[in-house]
Amino acid sequence: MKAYLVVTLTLFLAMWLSIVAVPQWALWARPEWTLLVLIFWALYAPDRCGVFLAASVGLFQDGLTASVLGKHVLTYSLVIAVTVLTYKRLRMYAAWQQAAFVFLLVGLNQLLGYWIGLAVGQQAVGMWFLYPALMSALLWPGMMILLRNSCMKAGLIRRML
Amino acid sequence: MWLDAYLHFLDPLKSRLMDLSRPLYNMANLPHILQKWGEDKFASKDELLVETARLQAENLVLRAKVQKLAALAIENVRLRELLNATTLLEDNVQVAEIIAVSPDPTQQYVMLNRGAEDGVFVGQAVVDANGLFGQVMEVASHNARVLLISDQRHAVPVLVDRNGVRAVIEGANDFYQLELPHVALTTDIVAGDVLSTSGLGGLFPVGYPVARVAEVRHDPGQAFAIVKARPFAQLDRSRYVLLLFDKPVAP
Repeated sequence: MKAYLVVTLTLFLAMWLSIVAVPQWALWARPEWTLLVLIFWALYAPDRCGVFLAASVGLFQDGLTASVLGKHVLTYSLVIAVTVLTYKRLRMYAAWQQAAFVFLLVGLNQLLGYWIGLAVGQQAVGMWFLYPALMSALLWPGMMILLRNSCMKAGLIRRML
Repeated sequence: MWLDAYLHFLDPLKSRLMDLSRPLYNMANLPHILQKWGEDKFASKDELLVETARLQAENLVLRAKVQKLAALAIENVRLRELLNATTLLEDNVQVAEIIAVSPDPTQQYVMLNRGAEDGVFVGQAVVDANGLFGQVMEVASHNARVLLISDQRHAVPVLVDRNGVRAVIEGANDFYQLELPHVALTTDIVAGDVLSTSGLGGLFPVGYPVARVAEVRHDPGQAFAIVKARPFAQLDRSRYVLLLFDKPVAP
């Protein structure tokens, strides 16, 4: 019960971070907060966070960011599906190796989202759409270690290895 | 996704989602509210006196202008009666506050703190103190999303104030620059011209200033002139905007 509360709280915090106002030049440098937190929970508590949660959070994110309905539902569930399939191997990786994989995951999310955007009439922006993936990867080690250690202390996730 | 992009039957679901995300948007607006509260509480007496003096001066100027406007309005009504045209309505507006801006760099919209409960409807024109701001694109019960005129999906029919030449002005995802596509090389339009809404699209009321032409370039290699304009509305700075409730009147 406590674990579900923590999952919900962290997801809400991430959504808040994903809409809080930043200067115009920093818009592209905003990490994909919501997806990062989803990946974290799919990695360390795959019994609590799966594709269904990812799809629901995606629907909420669609409403939050005025994107075409279903964009985040599709991209989030695909990325989380990949994460859930590979979590056993991912947990063994060092933080920086995980960060590289997170770059691929968030990059996949960005690429799919960009394609969907183009299909419904968005302007082409070159390779800019990959910047959030880069920022997410840079942020991952810090966020992962902080969340994992505090959750382990609170006994929310089992110690592995 | 295709259903949403091309049809409208999912719109109620979208506005429900917007209702759900309302507390989150209010939380995201907290830093501003705190800053404003601080400014209100700790404003010095000197600053307040200076502000009062400035507002009094502005009020005087505006009242003088209103006197002149009243005379002009009466004259205008008479002339329109002579022409047998419909009378222009008094502007019916509502003030709204911007509570959030678009987190997505490929879209330019803002969230307002007024929604369907306040009578806001999709397609409603929005202006700020300086010029045309945008149009309402989604409505929830207490919030509305306004597409800015600078979004690359947005276009406004305008005319040049100086000579009445018609054009369409499009956004380019840039707060400071709009573009006029398909302007013939021979069109009489020069830098410095003021562009106002023409009311032709049936969406925006006539006569609101939109932009000032910044640059007109005639490139021999291009079929059309390249025309850029700078919007009057302070798209990235305005905190309060006006929602217009008047149906557009044909010019």
